[in-house]
Order: sequence, then structure tokens, then C-alpha cells
Amino acid sequence: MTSDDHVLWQLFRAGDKQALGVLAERYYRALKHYGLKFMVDGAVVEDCIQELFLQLWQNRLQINETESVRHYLLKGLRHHILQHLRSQKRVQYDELDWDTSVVADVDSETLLIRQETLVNLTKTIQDQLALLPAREREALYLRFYEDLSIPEIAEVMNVNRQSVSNFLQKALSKLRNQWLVHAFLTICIFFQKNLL
Amino acid sequence: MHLPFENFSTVEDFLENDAFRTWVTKRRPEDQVYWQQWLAQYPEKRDLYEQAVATFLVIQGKQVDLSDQQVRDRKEKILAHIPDSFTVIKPLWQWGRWAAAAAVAGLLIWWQLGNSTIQQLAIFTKKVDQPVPQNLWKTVKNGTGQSLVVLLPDGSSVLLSTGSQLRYAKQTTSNLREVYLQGEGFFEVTKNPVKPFIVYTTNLTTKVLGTSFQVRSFDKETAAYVKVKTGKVSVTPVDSPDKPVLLTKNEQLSLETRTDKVVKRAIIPAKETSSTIVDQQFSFEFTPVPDIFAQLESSYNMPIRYDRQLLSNCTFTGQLNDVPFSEKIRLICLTIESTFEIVDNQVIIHSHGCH
Repeated sequence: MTSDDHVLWQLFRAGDKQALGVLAERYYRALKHYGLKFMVDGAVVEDCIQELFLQLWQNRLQINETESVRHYLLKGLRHHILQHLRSQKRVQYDELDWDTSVVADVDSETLLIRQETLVNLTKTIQDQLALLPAREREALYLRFYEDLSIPEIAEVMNVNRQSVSNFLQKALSKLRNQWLVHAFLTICIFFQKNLL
Repeated sequence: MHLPFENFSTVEDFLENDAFRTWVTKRRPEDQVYWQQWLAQYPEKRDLYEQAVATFLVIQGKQVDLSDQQVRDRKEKILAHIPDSFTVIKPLWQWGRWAAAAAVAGLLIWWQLGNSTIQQLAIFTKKVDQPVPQNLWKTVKNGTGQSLVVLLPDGSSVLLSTGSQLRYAKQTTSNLREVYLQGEGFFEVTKNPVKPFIVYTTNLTTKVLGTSFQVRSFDKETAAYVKVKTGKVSVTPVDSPDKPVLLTKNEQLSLETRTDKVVKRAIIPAKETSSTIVDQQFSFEFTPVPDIFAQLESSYNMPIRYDRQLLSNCTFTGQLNDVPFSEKIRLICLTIESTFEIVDNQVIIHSHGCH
């Protein structure tokens, strides 16, 4: 985590409301992005974020130092969303949905890939990912998009570290097959073109 | 030219790499140039690269579409819901603990007074009164969310990025000007060939006599760099102190911190819209002074107070690229026959205007 987050966190715990504001602004997009994954309405996610910061403020005297503010906030938000879903009787056994809708228009040119290739690839991987259990997808997201460590993911998802490792291993091995198939196909096409 | 990451052999290698993730999320033009070169150098890895990008995008999913202003509004809404005045309500047992502590202290004092002489107490207070050794170093931490100008005692200035920290000596008595940086800063150093200016970071040491350059070295990031805007600097990786690299105008040196690989290259001229201070030009030709002040205010994030009406007829011609912030202000003031002072982190211009 940045030393800056650390300083702001300390200020906030000491009663500095503005410091909490800076953190809210900094992590707002990340929190909303994560919250929307649980297939809840945007307005609900925003309410949950509001609730999260209000509760942080009320409990500031009991809150400890944290290694990473990002992971602390994500964990808090997940909790609030789970609470909301429970109150709506939408979840049982703590199983959460995970959204798989993909970015609509990707600027392939900027990313140095041909549009067609990228569209095909995302489609294939998308289909593969949609088959994975929600928890594996969430673990992938937290690991690679949010850059959290395995112990941090374990805390956020409220499971033990071994489970997180398992989620990631399983998800990656399924994806790996997909990657290999794709590589194989490219080689086939390459040979085919050469033969013709 | 050498580019790292040639060992990437699986999609996971990409996904686990900070530089790759930063590139796909932020898509900064300088990273694009970098990856373009990388792909040209390792054409056989293109397939892996494409799969990694696609996988990352799928994992990322739909992005949140909120403007900066919208995010600020949300923040204000959050703060508005938080009670302003607060009283610290301590649980009762805490009061109890304090009361117990006070009682013990009272007993001790009574015991002290009763058993020994007052003199002992006097000695005790005397010890406390001894002057604390004067702190010669000053540390500036920037947690403001924006860049912050730090004016050093020798007249040099540092534009310190948010999340960064700078430590410097309050007095420049030694024959070196030394600063310690964690994070990122843009340095404009007052020329003084007798006293070299040295920037220490975790991985790189930069030594100059007077020039402007940017140093970036966040401990969390896997690459550190030095970019030179004007003049000459010498950069030494901490791990190979006998191998200084000389950089001149528009050159950059970067260090991959995990592998200690050092790359020196020309800075690719940024696009016109680039707003980073390294790429900005401070050359003016009959430019109205209020316009220049506006540019300086936004580049350095430092408020400049002046009478706009009074200065509307004043213009400035010249280039201020390789001088520190306060020197820029001084030179402008000199030509428009004005004076300035820096109070409370803002510049105040005193002027009679131009005719």
C-alpha cells in the first residue's frame, strides 16, 4: 500500500473527517466496480458505499491499523452488500452471484491488438469464465484486477487461505486449457495458410 | 535496446506482472510505446500477449463510468451524512482505568513528598527541561491527493507527487545538497557547481549540479526511473555504485527493480495534450503575465495571488524551463517591476501594474 493511504488512515482514525473523504474519493470507482459484480442495482451499491463510510466513521475508535486500505474497504463493502442481499432474502449459504458481462467497446488499437482477434479471444475466454463458479471468478478478480494477496483475498471473501489458493488454481487450470487450445488453433491456421 | 520480460512464457506471467496490469488498466501513451517496442522485439510472444490482454479484460469486466466530478459529488454526499461535531465517547471501563491510574499517581507523589526531599523532584524536572537536540532534517509527506511544491533552502524546488515523501536538511551547511525521496518528484535545481545536489532513492542515486529532472521510485512499483528535462545528471544504481550513467536533455534511465536491469533511452516526445510537468514548456513570447501565472498555478498546484486587473497589460518574453519554481516567479516579477513573497504555501505578487 502507499504510505499516503497509511497516513490518511491514521488521520481518519484520529478524527479527521476530510482524510476519510480523500480515501472515499480515491476508492470510489474501485468500490463501485466491485459492488456491481454482485448483480445488484447501481443505486444499492452506492447506498452500501455510503453505509460503509458512515460505519467506518462511527467505529473509528475501534478500528486498527491496516496493511492495505484497499482490501479493508473492499472487505467492508462486500459485507454491506451481503447484508443487503440477506435482507432481500436473495442469498442463502453466503453464496453470491458474480457478474460476467464484459466491456462493450474495447479500444483494441490502443492495446496493440487487431479488433477481430481481440473480439474472438474475449468471447472465448468469456464463455470459459462464465462456466466457473462465482467464487473462483471473484478470486480471479481480486487477485489480478485488484492486485490483492492471497491472505487479503481470504479476508475479503471470508474463507481460509487454502480455499483461496484452490479457487485460483482451479480457475487458472481451466483457463490454461483454453489458452492452449487457442494457441493450437493459431498454429493450425498458420500451417493451413502456408499449405494453401 | 534491452527490454525486460523476455522470460514471459505463460499468460499468467503477464497477469502477475505489475507493469502489464498498469498498462492495460491505465493505457498511458508512454506504456504503449514501451509495449509496442516489446512486441516488435519478441514477435513470437504476441500470441501470449493477446491472450493475456483478453483475459485481463474479461476478468475486469464492465468498467464504472463516473467522471471525476461525479466521484467528488459522491464523496461530498458521504461526508454530508457523517456528523460534523463529535464527542469521543469512551466506554466506562476506560474512565475507570484512568481513575485508577490517577489514584496510583497521587499515591506515588504523596510517597515521594513524604519520604524524600523536594530536591529530587527538582532534579527530575530539570532533566525534562533539557533542550531536545535540534532536528536538522525536515520531512514532507504529501497525502493531499495532488502534487505539492516543496521549496528547498537553497532555492531549488521539488514538485512532489501525491503519496510521496521527501526528506531534506533544513540548513545547507555541508558542501553537498542531499535529499531523500520515496515516490515521485520533479526537481528544478538552482545552479551551484560547488555544491552538488544529490537525490537518494531506494534503487537509484541521482547527482546534478543544476538542472531539471524527474525521479520516480515507489517501493511498491517494479520500475524506477529518472527523466531529464534540461541539463545533465549522473545516475547510479544503488546496487552497482561504480557504474554511473550520464543522462542529458530528453533522456531517461529506468531500472527494473527485481532484475536490476538498467535501460537508457531517449524520451519519446509526448503528445500535445500531455500535462506532466516534464513535458511542459515554459517558453513565452509577449505572453500576458496572468496567463503565465495560470499555467504555473496549475503545473505546480500552488496558488498565486495577484490583481488580475492590474497585471492585464503586463507581458513576459523568455524561457523559464530550467529554473526552480521561485526563480520563475522572481524572473517574471523582475521584468514587470514587481515583488513577491511566499506565505502559507501561496505566492503573493505586489505590483503597480504595467503601462
